[in-house]
Amino acid sequence: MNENISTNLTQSQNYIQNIKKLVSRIVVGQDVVVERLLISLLTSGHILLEGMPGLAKTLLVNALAKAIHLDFSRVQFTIDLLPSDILGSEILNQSSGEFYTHKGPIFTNLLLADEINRAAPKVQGALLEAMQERKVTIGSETHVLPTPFLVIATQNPIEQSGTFELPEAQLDRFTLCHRLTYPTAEEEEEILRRNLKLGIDKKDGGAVSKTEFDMIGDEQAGSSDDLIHAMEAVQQVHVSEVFIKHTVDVIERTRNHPDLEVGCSPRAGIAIIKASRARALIHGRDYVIPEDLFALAEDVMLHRVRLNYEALAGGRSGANVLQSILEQSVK
Amino acid sequence: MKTLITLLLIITNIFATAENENKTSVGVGIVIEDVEISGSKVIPVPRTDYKTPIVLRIVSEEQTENGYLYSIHAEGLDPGNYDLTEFLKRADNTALETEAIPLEVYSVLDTPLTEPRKLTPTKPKNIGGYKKLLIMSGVLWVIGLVAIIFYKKTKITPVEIKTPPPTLTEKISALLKQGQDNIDTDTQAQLERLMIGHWIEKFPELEGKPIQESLTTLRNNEESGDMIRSVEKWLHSGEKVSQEEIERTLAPYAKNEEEQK
Repeated sequence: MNENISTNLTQSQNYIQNIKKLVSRIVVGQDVVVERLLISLLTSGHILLEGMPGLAKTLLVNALAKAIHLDFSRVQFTIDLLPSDILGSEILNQSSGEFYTHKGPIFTNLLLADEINRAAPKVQGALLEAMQERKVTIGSETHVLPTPFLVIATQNPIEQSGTFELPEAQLDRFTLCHRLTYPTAEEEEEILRRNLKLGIDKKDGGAVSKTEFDMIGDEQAGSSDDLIHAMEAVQQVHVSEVFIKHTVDVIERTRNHPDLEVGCSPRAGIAIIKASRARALIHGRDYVIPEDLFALAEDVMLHRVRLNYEALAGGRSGANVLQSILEQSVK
Repeated sequence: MKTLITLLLIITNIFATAENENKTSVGVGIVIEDVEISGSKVIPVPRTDYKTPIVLRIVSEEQTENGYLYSIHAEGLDPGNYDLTEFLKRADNTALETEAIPLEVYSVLDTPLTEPRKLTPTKPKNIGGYKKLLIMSGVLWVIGLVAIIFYKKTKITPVEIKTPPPTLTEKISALLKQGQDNIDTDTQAQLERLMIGHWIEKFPELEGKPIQESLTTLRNNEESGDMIRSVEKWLHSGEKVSQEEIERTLAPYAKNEEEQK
């Protein structure tokens, strides 16, 4: 391996470890989610988090943004939200008689789109278009979004009343879709212990109980240059021909599986390769291995496939089908 | 002269009456009275068939000096002129020789007569054959029963000894036999997947676990970890790996194959 590349990889791995360390001070467990967020960040791919409320999604994204010194905005999606509430709008300055552009919360590095499926399809469409093109047109002016730009969307998989399900074409824009699980018993105990130590915050002659958000410090894992170096390092991770064959084999199997009506698009293959590179870097490797493929397969592929009627009637789930595809690929 | 004319009229009338009295239509009886037949008593000839056209009955008889005076009831069955003496005989079976007793039987129907159409006896259809029908029904029932019993029943075929599908080890061995130099990328990819499958199969505790978890476990396992990592290095690192190193990497799999044999 080239010595410069090796040094760059080592520096990037240190940077990533620092980020993980800072985040872990605030968020207990959720290592896989942190890993997936870092993969999204390093590959400039957006991520959709599915999980029940109270799993520290907002806290996690907040802590991550702080650790890597990035701007962070959070938008709670509701039914009456308008595209201009996210993108921004032109406002008339009455004193000067001229219009000026008021930029919406999308002009940030990390945008947490909370409960994205609660907004009307036109709002979803506006956001997803901005995600794809990384620029926004307000009035007659086009504004480029800041870099890095990462959308972390969340949706509740259980509560479906009053929601607008994202269509497959829009889901495909998310590089990863990770399903959060509850913490383990040990992790939950640690969460409670930490919560006991929070105390109160006295200010302005009053006091308020501290929350986990108050624990997020100003310490940073590195500079924006470190992030750029890490993104460069991802590009230097070697992807073998054999790995590409593995990827295509799995993708092909989703297109020919009898239980699937819609298989993975070529975008899924691209996402696997990109995400595997980032995962390899996070795990201290300069080349991808099958473990990266299998570890990321569910997050990359599951939201891109659709079960057919027979499979649904037979009580099969997408996760089961995908697991059987992966198992079949090694036989 | 006046007396003669009166006598002639009476005689003519008598003859005319006599002619008219012995006339009747078919089926209508007539009584002919005061018929004197000399000699012994006469009786009607018994009817022995249905073809006799006249039915006679002696209504009364009265003995006279020479013979008997009869009242005869006659009924004609067929039109025609008949002599009733032909239908009488002496009670003592002596010959009957006497004057004819004429009887005209006429028909009141139009001539020629419209007679009933003659029936031609034919054999009625659909009568009989019940036995055949019963036998046919029985045969059909048996055929139906047999069809129900045997239709779509899998035939018991003799058990064929099928060659079991090749095991993962056999597949790996087959690929290794191609020689490391000749292994193209497709085969390398197939080989690696089979090796992963081989190790998952070898550790029963991994059964039912997601493949990514199994692979992580295998990579950290003492027995399998080194071998999996060396294959990964060979196939994925992008570094040039010597032939000796490849052979060393694949040797354990070849060994496993020999052990299985």
